[in-house]
Amino acid sequence: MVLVGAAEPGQHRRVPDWTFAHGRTECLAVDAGVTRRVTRGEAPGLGDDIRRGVEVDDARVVGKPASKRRGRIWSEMVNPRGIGARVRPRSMVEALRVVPARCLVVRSRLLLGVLAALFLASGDRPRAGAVQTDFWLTPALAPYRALIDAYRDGRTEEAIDGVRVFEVEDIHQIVDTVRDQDTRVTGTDRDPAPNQQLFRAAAMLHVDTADDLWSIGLASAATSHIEVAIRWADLGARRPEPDGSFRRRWYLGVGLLVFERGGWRVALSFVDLACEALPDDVPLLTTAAWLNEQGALAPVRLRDARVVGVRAAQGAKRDGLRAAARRARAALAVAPDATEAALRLARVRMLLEDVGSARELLLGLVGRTDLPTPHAYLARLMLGHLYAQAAEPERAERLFREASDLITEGQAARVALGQLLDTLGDRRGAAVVLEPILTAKPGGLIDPWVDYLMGARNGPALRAALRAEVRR
Amino acid sequence: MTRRWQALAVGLGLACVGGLTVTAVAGQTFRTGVDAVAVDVLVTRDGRPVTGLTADDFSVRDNDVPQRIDAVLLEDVPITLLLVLDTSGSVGGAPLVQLRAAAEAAVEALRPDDRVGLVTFSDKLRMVVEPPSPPSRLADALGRIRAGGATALYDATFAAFALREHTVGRTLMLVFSDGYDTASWLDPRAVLDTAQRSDVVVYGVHLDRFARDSWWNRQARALARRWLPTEPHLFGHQYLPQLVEDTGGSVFVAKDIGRLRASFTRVVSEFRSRYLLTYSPVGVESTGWHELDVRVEGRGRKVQARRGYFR
Repeated sequence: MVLVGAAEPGQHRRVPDWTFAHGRTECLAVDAGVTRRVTRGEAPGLGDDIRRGVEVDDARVVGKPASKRRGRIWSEMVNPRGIGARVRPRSMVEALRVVPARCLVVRSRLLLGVLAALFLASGDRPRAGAVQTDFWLTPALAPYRALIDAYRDGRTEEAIDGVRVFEVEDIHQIVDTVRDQDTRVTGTDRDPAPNQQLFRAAAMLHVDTADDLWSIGLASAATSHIEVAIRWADLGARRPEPDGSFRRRWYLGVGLLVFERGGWRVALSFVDLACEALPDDVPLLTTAAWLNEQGALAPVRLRDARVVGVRAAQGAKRDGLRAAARRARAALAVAPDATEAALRLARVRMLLEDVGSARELLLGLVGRTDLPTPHAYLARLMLGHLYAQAAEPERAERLFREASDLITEGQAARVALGQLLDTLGDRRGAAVVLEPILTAKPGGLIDPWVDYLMGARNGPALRAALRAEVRR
Repeated sequence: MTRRWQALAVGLGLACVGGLTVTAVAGQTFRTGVDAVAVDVLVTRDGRPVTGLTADDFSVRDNDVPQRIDAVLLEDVPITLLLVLDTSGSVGGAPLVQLRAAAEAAVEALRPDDRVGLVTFSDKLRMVVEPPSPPSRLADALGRIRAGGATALYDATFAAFALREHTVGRTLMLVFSDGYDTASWLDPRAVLDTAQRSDVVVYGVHLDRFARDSWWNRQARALARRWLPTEPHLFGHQYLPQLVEDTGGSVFVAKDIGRLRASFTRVVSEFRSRYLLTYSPVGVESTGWHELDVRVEGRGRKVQARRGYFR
């Protein structure tokens, strides 16, 4: 069960698709006076509607975490403690009112069947995309359309200023309407249909608006625009999603932006959703593994001096590392030669003290001759570290020296070797090994280890390319 | 280098020296000999260094075995100041200007026969001034440092310990950082292990705008430090305080960048007020970890010394 936005009785509230992030599948909502258990995938059609957001009268959570859930859905999403709260009916009477929800499911199925029959019977239906662009040109949308046009013409500031005037809820309604008209995608990535191009432009406009808002410290407003942007981007979804498609690159580029602006935890929430939308995307899964790994290892500040706080931090770390391992494994399942994912899986296993399987994985990588040099370097470093830990200094030294030969300016390899020599009592040797990096000229190579930690994925360049694609 | 300085340099660093040397320093008798151990000690009262103490005021237990000691106040002895400065991206702009000014102030507090070295670090390590160099060389070098990149604090401090090979006499390592490590290869425990095998005294200056010195915060920090060896990633922000404690130094938290200058100057002056206790260990194993317990007579006096040493 998950939390759903609290509302005063009688006030309408959307159950957004965020609700079903993180694999949570249910919430409790009161709709038309009937409390129902809203379940993703509970019924074909109904589940699909829920993904877009269903209007309900009230939605609330009962139980301990309820007090924490006054904020926005996003803020709950980024706070792991706010997610996964249990939802229960407040009373037996309310529990009994859940029962009619089952009937609703049956009704929905019947309704869908009738609609499908009517749809198939109508022979003279308009071409997909044409409906969309017709809708797009309606006078009601003129103000918003003008902003998209401005953005596509390269007048970014004007477009962003204009979008910020809109209520985000109004834009959600626009997306709802667009969806109702036509969501079918008929173009290709190189030659997108007019509706696709508009979806993409809108998605990028809201991403840039979010970036602008983050830069002035309005994080909450920024995440609202990211929510809208995701909906626009998902309107251009294709099944199966082609490799390297706009949407795949968009999710990666925006995930990196969310990380750059919002930090680990917000980015983790975003990439979890992205991986749900694109479960076979190797760069996205690898990025998710990276974010989970680094998020798990991020320093924590204890709020008080109780050991329970330490235990909680350790638990969160283990969970994060396991999530990283899952993502890396998923990437390897799609692409067994994804060496970055293999390296990440190996390191996570080392951190989870599953040394045997980490060593096996790294031995396989070190034995390969087709690895990119940075990955060969990292594999040797990690395996050398395992040998050093296992009191096998000769093997460790050999691997550190091999890594140092692969990238002579490599700082991590020299530091690793220096530390090993120092431990063995050879202080002078350690000083000699370190000298080249200490006296190197400024600039130069960034160590692959730093890239590994910092996840150098060049988000700005990726987003610039996406921006260029949606321009006229 | 004077003869006195040379003799003292030999005695430092937990050195094993053949024969026996007796040297007078600052009116005290300083003795080194076979397996001599030197312990750098700071005595304070109400936060201020206490001077004028003699060997009779101190007691040292090595692995719980009392030792006979000599003490020497080292205010007249030249030092090597090894500056290890964080120049990661977060230090860019005004903080870097203040950091340069603080480093210059520290150098101004040195004496002509003192020596310096400068290592800067972001995700890259740079030896900007190789130790031991005259203080005058630092001023030019400071103007050349630039900020940018991530923070490899553990790797940088390890490299600075390795530079001990280049220095002579008493070495003061002054580490400045405004954040926690994000880019090191090394595990903090490995560097703490190296520190235990070195005689360098580390002083830390940490910039933390949100530092609050409440009782609860102190307790939480103490708990985090206890867990640092078990969870080096989660409690890595306790690395610098732990390093300082292990080597017998002090850590100063500057809440704003404008106070860096005062902190740097204070480090140098405090280091000059330290004593060097030397003794020839008796009744203890010659190798392995030696736990040290240094005490001083007199109410309200507080002793700072390294926790122990490896042989």
